Amino acid sequence: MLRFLSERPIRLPQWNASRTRPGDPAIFGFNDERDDIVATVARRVAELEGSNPQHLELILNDAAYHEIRRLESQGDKEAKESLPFWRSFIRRIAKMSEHEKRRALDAMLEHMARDVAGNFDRRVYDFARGAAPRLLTGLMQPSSLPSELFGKGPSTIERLLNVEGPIDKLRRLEDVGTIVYVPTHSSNMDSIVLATALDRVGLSPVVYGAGKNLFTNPIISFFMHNLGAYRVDRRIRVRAYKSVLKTYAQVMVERNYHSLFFPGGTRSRSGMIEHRLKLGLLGAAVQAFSRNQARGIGRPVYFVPATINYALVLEAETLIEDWLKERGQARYIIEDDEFSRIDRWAAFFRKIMGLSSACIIRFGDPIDPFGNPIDDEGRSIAPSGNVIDPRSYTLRDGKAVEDHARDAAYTQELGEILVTRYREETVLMATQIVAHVLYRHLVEKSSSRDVYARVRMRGEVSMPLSTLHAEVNAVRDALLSAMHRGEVRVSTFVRAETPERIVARALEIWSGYHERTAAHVERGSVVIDDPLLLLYYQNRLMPFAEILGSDASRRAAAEIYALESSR
Amino acid sequence: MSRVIGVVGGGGFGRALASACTHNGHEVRLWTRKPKVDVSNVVATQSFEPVAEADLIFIAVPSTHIGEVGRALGAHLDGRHRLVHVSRGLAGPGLTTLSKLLREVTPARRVGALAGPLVAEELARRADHSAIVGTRFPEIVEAVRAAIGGSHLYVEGTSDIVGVEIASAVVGVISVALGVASGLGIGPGGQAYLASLGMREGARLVESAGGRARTLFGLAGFADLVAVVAGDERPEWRFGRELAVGKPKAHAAELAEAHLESISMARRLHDHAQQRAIAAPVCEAMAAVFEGTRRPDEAIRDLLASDPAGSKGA
Repeated sequence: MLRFLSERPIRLPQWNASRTRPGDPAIFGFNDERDDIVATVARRVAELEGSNPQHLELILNDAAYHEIRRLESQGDKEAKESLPFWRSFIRRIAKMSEHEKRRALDAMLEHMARDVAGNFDRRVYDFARGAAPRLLTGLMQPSSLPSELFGKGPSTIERLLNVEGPIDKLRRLEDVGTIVYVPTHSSNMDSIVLATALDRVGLSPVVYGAGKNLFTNPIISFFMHNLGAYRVDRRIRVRAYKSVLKTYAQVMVERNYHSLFFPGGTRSRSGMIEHRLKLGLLGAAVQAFSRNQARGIGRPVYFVPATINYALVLEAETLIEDWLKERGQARYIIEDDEFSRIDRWAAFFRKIMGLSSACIIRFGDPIDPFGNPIDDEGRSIAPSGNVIDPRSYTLRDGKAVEDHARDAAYTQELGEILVTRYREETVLMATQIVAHVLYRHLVEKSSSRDVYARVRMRGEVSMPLSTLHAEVNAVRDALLSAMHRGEVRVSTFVRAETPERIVARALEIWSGYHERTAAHVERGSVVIDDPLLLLYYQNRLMPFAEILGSDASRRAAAEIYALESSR
Repeated sequence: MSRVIGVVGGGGFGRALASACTHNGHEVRLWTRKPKVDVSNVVATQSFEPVAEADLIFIAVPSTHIGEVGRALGAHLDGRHRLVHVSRGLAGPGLTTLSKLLREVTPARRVGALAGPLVAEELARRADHSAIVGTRFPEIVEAVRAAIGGSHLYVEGTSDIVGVEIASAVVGVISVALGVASGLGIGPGGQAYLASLGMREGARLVESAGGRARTLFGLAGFADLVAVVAGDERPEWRFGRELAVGKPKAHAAELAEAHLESISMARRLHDHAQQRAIAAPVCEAMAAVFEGTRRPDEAIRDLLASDPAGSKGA
């Protein structure tokens, strides 16, 4: 049954499905458009990839080869059903006429696009925004169910989230152009958390690509499917499939669907703020803008850099262990992490339930596809303060044109701007600051060792509480002045509380959820129990090592960057 | 096809570019502080408005003025403009590339850097020569080719714009060093050794800035140095020779004022390298010479006696 649920999206019957009203976001009308979108995506990819007859054969061979390899390694029900087809197909390709090849390609692309396309059900959406957060909280902590369901005021989940940024402006821009949210990515919870945050502050729902592995939990799968998520199967290595995904994302932006992309690609393994981006989907949005302009559709596209900051990260242990693995062994897809384990979820929620603002979502000021800031009316502003027309960036000899090479260059530059913006919009929390002070203390005490040896030093190094408090205070001060310069942000808690409370909060958050304790207090000192976990949390501060002004901070940063650049 | 092309800066390079453009049949708008210029068929202007009517604008002002001029020009630009600068300089203590600075102070995103063995006098004389355009935008390479390219000028393109800009700055410093060596009567073998030291540090600097070391193998690096040695008599080299024969050091400051970028670049490149634990012996030696703390002959002889393995750096 579970397998059935996870493989096949559940949809509610269409009777009673409400009609869209004027002024509704595009996503409310998605189901009426779906067939057209699927056909458009398949057609465009066919034009893009299949224009050259020799190329055509290559694409079909590539698809068959990669699908056979994937299915053979899966060896599941899907393999049983589909392997015979691909095996016979790969033998036939060479004998096919060009016409047959084209038809085969069309059919394949249509199938892929349909598999990717999501669903949007207004009823599920209304349910999700009303009862679901309370229900979810209740499921995680049954004793709270009655008060969650029948109590007044915000549900616990809502209290956990803090949403910051120019919300009013974003609400206005939603009606003027297409919004593309481009947040940092640290947890599989990100898309759920972001969707909740958007709803909480009255912003429209977004479409986003979610890894197929997120659909294995039937409850989450149900919500994701019916709330506009499209499915991305990372196991599929077929080249044309990547093209389908990118084109799908592009068509959604062209059609004014507010979208969500994670430019980091996958979750940050190290816990560091993304400093290298995957430009594929960003490029899709930039191209969507150009294509619309070239076809006389003047609608702007706004990119909203955002950071999702957790005091406690659900998958921290798996992610950091994976990062530290020797080069080449790190996994691109992790399927057996905490996210797929209900018991870890329950433990996670039990832990964070009592913490207000355990997750801070910060929306940055929007920019146009060329990095220009946007004013309250949705206009692009040049460095001189003049209003400029973003369409001018697509002009060639006075005419708006599509140009892939040009748009790829714009995308690269947009990526660089986002990397800077991520740093500025990051909100540092107690766990990250305390982890940094402890970790750099460990670096000082183990200067002759490398990272691998260091993270195995469990329970060997401790730090007097009084020193820890003093250093946390100093780090906080340095970060606060960086915040005044606009270089980073610090959470309200860290800003307002004493170093003693900051340290106590970090230790409290770590204990009880993670399978190993990060650190504990013993006779006036903090003993470092799990350097690896501290490494994960402290990595968030690495871009600011220069600001923190300690040799150990710099040494830790240099070491971590060297490791990172070897991946 | 005849186009309107903008040139900002009425110095030697700006005038040579303007002349090359008109030679290719384009209409040139030359912005200059001086009201009169001696380039035929070129109308000089002191306002940016007519310049902004061009899609392609060459920026031929010294790096120290690019921020200010760029800001003023930027108020008249939008996303359709293509800016190509020709400076060997880098801005500020962080060594911001000028293409980056132009993107910050103007709305233009389509920017490029024109570099390589391109000397103003030869450009104006239409002698055989070559140049490289560093830009992420292939259309800028085409536009530069159409503007100034032709049977006498070969224009190549690379997407490694950072590599081109850093290489160009480093080669400027090496050119002075080669001029000093030549003035001291150091032979071909010694000059070649000096050039190789310089190229090594250039590669390290380019890579640390995110560029590609192989950019130095092409027109922006290696070829640019060959042109120095083959005798293009560029200003940096001539200045080096003057230093070797003992011109007073006030002359260096004066030339720096007259915008010989390499004089200030040597110190800044070296400081930048030092912060990143990169060895940059040629920049270090030349900086000391420019500041008058070392004698040119000593500095060059020490470099020649140095061990390249010891200068590997990071």
